[in-house]
Amino acid sequence: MSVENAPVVDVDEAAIPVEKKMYYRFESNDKKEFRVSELAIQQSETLNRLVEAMGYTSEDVENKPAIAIENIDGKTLKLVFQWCEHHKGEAIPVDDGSVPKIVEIPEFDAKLMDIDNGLLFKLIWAADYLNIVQLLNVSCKKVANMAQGKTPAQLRRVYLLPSDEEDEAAKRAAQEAQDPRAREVEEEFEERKRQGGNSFF
Amino acid sequence: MDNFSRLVATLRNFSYAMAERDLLGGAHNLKLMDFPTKVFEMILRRMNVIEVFNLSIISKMIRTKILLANIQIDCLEVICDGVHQKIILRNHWKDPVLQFTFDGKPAPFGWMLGKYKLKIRLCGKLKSGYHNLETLLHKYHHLEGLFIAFRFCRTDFDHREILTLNRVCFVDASWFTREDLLNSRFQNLKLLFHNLNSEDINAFIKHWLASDDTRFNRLELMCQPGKRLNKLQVTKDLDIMLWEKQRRESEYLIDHIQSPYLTDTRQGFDIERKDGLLATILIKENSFMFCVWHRRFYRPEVQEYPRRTMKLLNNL
Repeated sequence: MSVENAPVVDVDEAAIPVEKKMYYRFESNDKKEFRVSELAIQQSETLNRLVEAMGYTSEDVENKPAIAIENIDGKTLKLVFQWCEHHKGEAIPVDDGSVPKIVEIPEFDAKLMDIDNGLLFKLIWAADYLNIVQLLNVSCKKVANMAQGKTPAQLRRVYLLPSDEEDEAAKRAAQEAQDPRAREVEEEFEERKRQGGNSFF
Repeated sequence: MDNFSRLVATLRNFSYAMAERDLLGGAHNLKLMDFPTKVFEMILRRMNVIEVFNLSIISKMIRTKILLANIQIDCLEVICDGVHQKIILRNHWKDPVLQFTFDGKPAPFGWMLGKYKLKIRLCGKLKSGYHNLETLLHKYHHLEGLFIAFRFCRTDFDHREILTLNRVCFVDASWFTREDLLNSRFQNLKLLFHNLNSEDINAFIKHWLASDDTRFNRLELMCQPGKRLNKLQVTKDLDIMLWEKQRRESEYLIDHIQSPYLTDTRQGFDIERKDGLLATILIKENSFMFCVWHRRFYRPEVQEYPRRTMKLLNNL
């Protein structure tokens, strides 16, 4: 199934799906609404627990407001639900967090993630937040693949990694921002030194 | 600037911008350090050892994060040689004793990686189909040499692939045969604790004389304890010449990456190939060095390198 044909729909754009299955409605932080099948929801541990706890019936879904997902925007959420619909019913892998992973990115996922880095970043955050193990798996692989064949200097630019000097500068800036009075005192001390005084007091 | 120059400049800038865009993936806001720790670790676990290593040398901060991730990649131990300079990427899947560990100090990465040349010392046991050694050989294009201190199994490696590196040392070379010596191409090779005899070495020299190999630079051998080389057998049927100062320098430059030095080769025997390439044979009781003079006389600054006696157990 192509990315374009994945059965995630914006409510205002498409008709109610033909299949007689339980669907849930979700709303992104920019008020985009999505209708997602119960089976697709199971890919997300977070959402699955949420709908279970709510105990919604089909009528509830239609009559009550859509479930708000406050920290994910519509563009990202659409990708998430497209992925969930395409992979609905698939077994959820168990990540034991130990071995170096050999992960293959399926064609559908590769197309879905053919997006700019900003959106990819949001997608990974969303997959982590919603606890969608396999989406997180492939999206992390996508980011890891960016390191292939790169020199350290190139990696630094690809992943926007600060150098030691930049880290130091940021640390200093953070310290100064925490205590502006300390900076004032230091400047005053420097000024007095310039004027010839040895003692601050 | 005329219109044509302006157009050329514009196009050039555009191509640079496109190349940069391709490298960065179209947008500039994928900050690896901004991912949650769990995600950061997942990304690391999907990289290979070289990519993680390359990341680790970018900054102290990323090194610390990698260290905290406690990644176990495989059973590969890599030690970058040097008295106070070593990197340990120790890992051993399913064995918690060996962990993926970085030396937290930035200094250890200094001297060789500045030139994108990495000399690596491998020791310990390798398991899991030697996956990470393959990674090293195939993916790390700046790998200058390998110092291999583990027990080498011919069934697990194609050693000819390792020998394509510029500098290779096998600490346990007891498996290395006369056929390997004659049929492999290498540049700088050290074999310690080998089982080659004087006839094998003689055959190698004859093989070099008959070849047109211009890459080969130096072969150093150190025998197993108790074994001796026979100078007469090593030089048998060879047209050897004694040192003459008009022919070449008295000292040969051992061009190690870390600490190159000059060694006295006046006691060596010279042989000259048909194409004019000169080599010197140095034989001691339990050691042998065969070095090629790609330059018979060095630049004046080379004379300032330190002098030492011939050392086989040294850097690459």
